[in-house]
Amino acid sequence: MNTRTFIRMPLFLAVSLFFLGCGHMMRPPELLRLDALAKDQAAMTKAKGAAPMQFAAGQEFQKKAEDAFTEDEAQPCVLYSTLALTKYNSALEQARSKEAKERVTKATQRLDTAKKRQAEQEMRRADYDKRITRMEKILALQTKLESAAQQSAKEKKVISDELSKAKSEGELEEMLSKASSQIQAAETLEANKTDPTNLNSAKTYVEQARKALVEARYGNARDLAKLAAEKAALAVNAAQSEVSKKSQEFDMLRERATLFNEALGIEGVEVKQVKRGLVLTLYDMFPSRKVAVDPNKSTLLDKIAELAKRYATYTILVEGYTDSAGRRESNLALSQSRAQSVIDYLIQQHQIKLDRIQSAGYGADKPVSDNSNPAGRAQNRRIEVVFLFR
Amino acid sequence: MKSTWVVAGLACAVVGLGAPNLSRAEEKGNQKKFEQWTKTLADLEKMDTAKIVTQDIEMLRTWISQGQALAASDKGDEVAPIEKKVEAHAEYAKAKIERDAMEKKATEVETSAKQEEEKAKQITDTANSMEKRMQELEAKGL
Repeated sequence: MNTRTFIRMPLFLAVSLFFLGCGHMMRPPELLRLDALAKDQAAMTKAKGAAPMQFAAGQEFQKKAEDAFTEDEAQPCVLYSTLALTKYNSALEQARSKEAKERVTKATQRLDTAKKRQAEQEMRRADYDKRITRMEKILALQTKLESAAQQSAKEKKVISDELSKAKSEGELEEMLSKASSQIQAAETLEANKTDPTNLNSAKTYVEQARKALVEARYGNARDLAKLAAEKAALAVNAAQSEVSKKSQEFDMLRERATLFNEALGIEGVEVKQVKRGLVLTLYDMFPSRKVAVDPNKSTLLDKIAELAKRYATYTILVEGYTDSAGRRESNLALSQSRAQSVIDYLIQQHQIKLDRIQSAGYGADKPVSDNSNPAGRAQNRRIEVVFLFR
Repeated sequence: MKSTWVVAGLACAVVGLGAPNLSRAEEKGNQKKFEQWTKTLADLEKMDTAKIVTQDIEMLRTWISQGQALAASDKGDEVAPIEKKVEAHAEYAKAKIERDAMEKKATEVETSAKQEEEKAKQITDTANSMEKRMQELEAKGL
């Protein structure tokens, strides 16, 4: 074999192969698409799993397509390729549909779970809501209660203040009324004469207390009203004392007058009122130079004793007097003895208490008449029972 | 010999008479197929509310027309491949519609699930905050 032949042989073979190739048909686009799809193992697996019958049909058509291609049968090759593709695609659609269905199932499960969770949480929320509502209601009521208590306390304080104010005003009005009454009483009792200072003070304090009351200065008003009452009371007391004093004097004078009149009713007794008391003078009560009371004259003493009993508040002084005849000392002694004799009679016969009765003898020292004549001397021989004025 | 020709003639006559009958049967069968395919097309169009297989339907319609044309031009034997393609593609279109519907449904349910999950989360959050509030109230001795 020469070089030319060596070069020409491969060229001849290549040309021969080219022509041989040209004699076999080209793979149609449908078959090429089928090849591409068939190479996608994942898709094929998916298609086979989802639609095994479709997939099997596809495989069958694919085989026929390959056979047709091998046999150079173009139309059947295209037809079977198309059918195989369609079957595979149908299987893939079903696979995708299955996947979508699985998504639906999963999503439905999620949906169900979510709804279930919603229901659970809604129940939980509703439960909390109920409890919170109740708690908040309690809290609100407690707050309201506290507020009400506070409010009540405030109201209570206001009422208490008002009550206190009303009481204070009432008390003050009463105090002022009393003070005013006392002032009026004092004026009626002419305290302006007896105690003008306290009366005027009381009036001033009452005015000041009323002013303080209007200005709601209750403490001050109370103090002033007290002072007014005290001053008015003092004025009243002073006036009453004066009135009482006058009344007592009047009573005393009336009593003295009564005593005097009653004493006058005792026959044989001379009655006179002097500064120191009511003097009942008895004459000839004793026989000459005797000490014992003449029994005939004792009735006078009985009447005087009765008088003394009725006027028990009077201290009784029994005084003996003589005329100037005889010695002075003996006259004094005689007079003292006679006075004592009268006292003894009153005490013994009439239970006149010793502590209210006294005796004294003055002899001829205090003559009431002239001793130069018998009538005068008879006047001087006397017993004076004195109801001493207080 | 004469009788042989007679038999042969009768046979031919029988064959000749039978041929038009077979053609009419095929025609009738084809007609029935076309009616069936037309119905299938109508069903697909009805199913395809989302208009995702419009092109497939057009293609099917073309194939059916081709088949009808072939049948009309006495090329009945060429109808069979079209029949196979129409049946396969109609099945594919149906699967496509069903897949689309299922995917849409999946998306819809997933959206709903997401919304409901969000809602559940919100309710849970609300419940949690209320629980906290309740605990605060309880801490006050209520």
